[in-house]
Amino acid sequence: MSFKRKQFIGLGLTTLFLFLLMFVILMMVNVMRENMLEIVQDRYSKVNEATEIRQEFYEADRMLLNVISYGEELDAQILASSLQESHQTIESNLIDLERSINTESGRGIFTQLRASYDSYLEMEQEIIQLMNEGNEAGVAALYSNELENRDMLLQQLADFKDHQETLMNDSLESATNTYNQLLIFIISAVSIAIILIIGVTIWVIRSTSRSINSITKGINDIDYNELSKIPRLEVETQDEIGEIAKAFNYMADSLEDYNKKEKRYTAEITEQNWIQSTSADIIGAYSRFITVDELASYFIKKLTPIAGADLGIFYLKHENGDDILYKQVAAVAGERNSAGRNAFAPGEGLIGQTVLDKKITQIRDIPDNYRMMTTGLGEFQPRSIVMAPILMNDEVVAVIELAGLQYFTNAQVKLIEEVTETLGIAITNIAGRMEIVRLLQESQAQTEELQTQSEELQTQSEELQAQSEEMQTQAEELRIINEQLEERTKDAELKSEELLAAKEELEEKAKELTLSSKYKSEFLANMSHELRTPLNSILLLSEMLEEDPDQVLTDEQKEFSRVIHTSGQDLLNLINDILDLSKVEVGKLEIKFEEVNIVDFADRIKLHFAQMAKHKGLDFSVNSNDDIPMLMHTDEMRLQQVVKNLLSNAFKFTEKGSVTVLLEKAKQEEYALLPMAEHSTNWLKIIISDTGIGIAPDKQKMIFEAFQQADGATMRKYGGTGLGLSITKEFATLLGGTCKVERSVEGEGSSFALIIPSLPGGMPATMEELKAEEEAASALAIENTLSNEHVKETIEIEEPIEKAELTKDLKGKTVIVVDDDNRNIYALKNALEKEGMNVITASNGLQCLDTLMSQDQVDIVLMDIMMPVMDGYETMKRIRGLEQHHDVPIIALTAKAMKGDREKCIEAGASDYISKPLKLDQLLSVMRVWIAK
Amino acid sequence: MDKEELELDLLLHAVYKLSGYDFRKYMRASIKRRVENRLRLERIANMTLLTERIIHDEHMLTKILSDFSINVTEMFRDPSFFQTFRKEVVPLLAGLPEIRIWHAGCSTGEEPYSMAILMEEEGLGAITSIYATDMNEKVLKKAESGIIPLHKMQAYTKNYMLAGGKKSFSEYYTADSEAAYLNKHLLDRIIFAQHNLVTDRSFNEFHVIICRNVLIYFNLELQGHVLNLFNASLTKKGFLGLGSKESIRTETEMFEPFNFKEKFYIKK
Repeated sequence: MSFKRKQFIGLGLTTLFLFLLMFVILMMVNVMRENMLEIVQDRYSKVNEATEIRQEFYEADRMLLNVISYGEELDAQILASSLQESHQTIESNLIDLERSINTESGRGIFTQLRASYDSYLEMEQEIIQLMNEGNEAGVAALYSNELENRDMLLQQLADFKDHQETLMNDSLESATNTYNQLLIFIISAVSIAIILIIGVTIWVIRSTSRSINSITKGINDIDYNELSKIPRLEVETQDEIGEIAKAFNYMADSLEDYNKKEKRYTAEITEQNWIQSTSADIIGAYSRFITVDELASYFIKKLTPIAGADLGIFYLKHENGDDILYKQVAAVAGERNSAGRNAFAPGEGLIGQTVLDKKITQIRDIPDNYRMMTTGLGEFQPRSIVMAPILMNDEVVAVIELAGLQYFTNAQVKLIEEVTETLGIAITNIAGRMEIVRLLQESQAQTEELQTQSEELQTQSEELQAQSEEMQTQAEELRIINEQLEERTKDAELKSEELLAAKEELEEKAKELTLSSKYKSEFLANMSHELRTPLNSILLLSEMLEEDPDQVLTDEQKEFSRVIHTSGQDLLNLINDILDLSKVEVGKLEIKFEEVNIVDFADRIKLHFAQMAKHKGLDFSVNSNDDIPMLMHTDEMRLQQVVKNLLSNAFKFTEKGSVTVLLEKAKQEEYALLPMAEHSTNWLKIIISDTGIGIAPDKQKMIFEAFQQADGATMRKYGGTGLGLSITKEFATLLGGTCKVERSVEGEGSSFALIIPSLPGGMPATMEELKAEEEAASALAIENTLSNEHVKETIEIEEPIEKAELTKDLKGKTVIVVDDDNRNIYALKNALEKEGMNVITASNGLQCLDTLMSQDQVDIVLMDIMMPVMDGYETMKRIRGLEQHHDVPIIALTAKAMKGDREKCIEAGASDYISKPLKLDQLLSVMRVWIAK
Repeated sequence: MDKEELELDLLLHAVYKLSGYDFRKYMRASIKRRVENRLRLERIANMTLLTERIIHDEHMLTKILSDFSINVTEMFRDPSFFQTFRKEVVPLLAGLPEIRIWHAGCSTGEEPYSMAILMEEEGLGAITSIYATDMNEKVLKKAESGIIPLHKMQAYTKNYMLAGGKKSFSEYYTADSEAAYLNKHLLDRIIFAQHNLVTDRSFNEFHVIICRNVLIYFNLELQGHVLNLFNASLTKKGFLGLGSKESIRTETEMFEPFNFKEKFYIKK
């Protein structure tokens, strides 16, 4: 039965039950209504009619009674009519009743009633007749006779009425019963209907849900992890559920089918992946190997177990001219020399055939006598063999052979195919790489060999050069020796003549010397006079101008005059100093040793500087220790000059504080090292101290040099020539003593010490003698070099150097000094000319270029960088572009310490650079380097 | 066996036995050329005769020894090498409390001089000790003197500039008409000593070893030996500087290139 029909039946039955129930209820209600109607219409009207009959009867009876009892004279007619009327009403009612009586007992009662009434009516008729007859007594007697009859009628009427009322009660009771019955019936009918409906519903639900449950169970029973076996649903019914079960079973079929396919595909993909990853794993490692043998060994060791083989051999192609042989280079599970053959040629055997076929060969049916695989226990026969050629550009570069105790699976064979496909390239690459490495090493070795050879050649050429130089030197020496020998014979001849001549010449020279010395003194004297005269006028005039007696000059002009005056004064001092110094240097300064009273000397000094101290606001004191020698033998004038110089300096460099002079007896250790130490024991030490600017430790030695002051800044601030201390030092030396810095701290002050001896006998001759001796010795040395020619041969290396010094020096070389600062030009010119160089100066680049053009011989150029008109960079660039002298060495003189500066110099074409301030030694060194050929 | 090879073997053996200098593992070709050169100069017919002379004539032994010692060097040779040293190696040395540099095979000392100048300019002069060794005492003497032939100075000046010199080259020497004299304070920074790479052992631990154009005279075996010696003499992460045409050709795990172009290697 279909699910639909079940639904229809279930719902239809329920509806039917409801209709039935309604029908029954309606019927019952109708019965009840009929009962009620019967009660109300039938019974009730019968009672009414009975009641009415009785009423009429009572009326007629009363009239009769009235007539009888009261004797009223009534027309019998009238009475008869009224009685008639009453009888008619009763009669109609009785007929009605008779008609409507439907019960047996009612009819019995009614018949009795009818009979009683009929007897009553006869009585009445007799009464009326009697009355009409006027027999009153008879009437009354009759009446009284009939009383009993009449009561019986009444009784019967009452009985009828009671009967009808009983019937009515019965009907009512019956209606109540019917109602109760209906109630019971309805309840039971509804109950039955409900039970039936429930039953039908349960049946419908049961039968439906059982099918659904079986399907649900069937679906729930599916193992989704194992779709290959899906439980089928048993098709029990022909309804929709059955259809679903059918559809499900169909679906399960296709799912199983699909699952099978999927499994197959998965297996295929897994296999593919395995091949891919395994081959990638193997292939990925190729790059690690640098030799083919390593690669082969790795490959076969890796592939053999993976491919399921137990024995593997790798043959590599070896070409030897036209001879091609495949040699075993690696093997697995078979010792190298025992696993298979060591080599084979193409076409030789099955494996040789593989080379020709260029295809993978698989053998499954191994003949029984095939080579065994050995284990510790015994030997096995392989079940399957694969031989695979390894191709590169359609050429077999190697062959592998694998043997297994199992058959090779398709995947394993595919893997072998896959990995052998790319192995060819790897082998070729590695072989190429090995070749490159080999070539590289070869080329490296060749490079080093070349370097070795080049160094050797360089050494050889240096050796050759050294040899040739040596030979030249030797030849030169021989020639010189020869010449000298020749000369020597001549010399010997000429010697006596020369000696004579020399003697004369010497005498002449001595005269000349005296003369020239005189000339020089005169010249100096003249010079100083010539210089002083104009200077004096300058001084005088400038002083006058400064005073400006006429008050016509502006302040500025006055200041100018003052500057002229001071400068002139400085110049004068300088001239005096130079004069003194030159005198000292030519040894022409006369020193007169005489007795000097030191106490007086000290007083004079004090007197002389007291004014200046006051003027500058400084404390000034001159103190003497008690142990000083009262009398000293020395040149007072020079001593005074020295002390004055020192004091002038002290005052000059002291702005505030004090200047003190202390005289004391010098201690033995202070003069022990001086040359006059042994000539006198009587030494005086004069210490001049100040609280001035002081001198830095590194400058303390320098200040005694001519033209030196502690630094340039000092010079600008304090003026002066820088000659004072050097003269002081020279004088101190002339007096047999010395002058030195006793103590000096920068910013705190200095003390200078002057130590002089008392020399009663004047300056001993020893010093001059010493000098003379030195000169003699050097003369002797020259003599020696001339006479000891032979010795030189043994010390050949040193000698040429000394000789060369004479020839190769800077002497005679031409240098162009390009600088716009005249001070530099002057200083450089002086220094270089002292070296015997020809110095040409140029104050800018353009001049330098002009000079270069006009000069044939220029050995070196010293080039300042910052110059007007044309700077150093530009000039150097231009020089490098010249036709002539474009390769002249140029030394750039840079004032800047910046790094870029040097690079710019080099870029512009400088050969070298040297930074300012120039150090003469360095400059000369550089020039020697660059002038050297 | 090649008879010439035999003769050469015998000669080198004789030299080794007589002088203690072992040239047997030197590059064969080079040694052969030197010997042939000597044969030519001395007008000797074959090597055996030379061997005889060497055995009996000490003068000839000295000559052949000096033949074998090739002394080609320059100040700031291959300026880019020194430039690289200045720019790349010095910054890594700067933090050290003291720096020891070994010039192995220093020849006439030009490279140690250059190194002294370089370190001075980098402000590391005071903490740097430079050890300069060579097997040839004659050239060491020359090196110790600090005297440089004047005619070489122009080329050296150019090298100095190209090597990134920071001052004037002339500040480091004084010259007279024949030669230039390296400043004494630079020379004082260099310790000169005789040392034979073939036979002598490590004598200190260095931060830098410079050995330029020395290995090229050795065969691969000897090169390996010397590299071992350097490895033993270098601090961890110490530098080895080779000549421009050289490279470490033996398989070695000891060094890895630091600047391959300028042949600086670093100890692993």
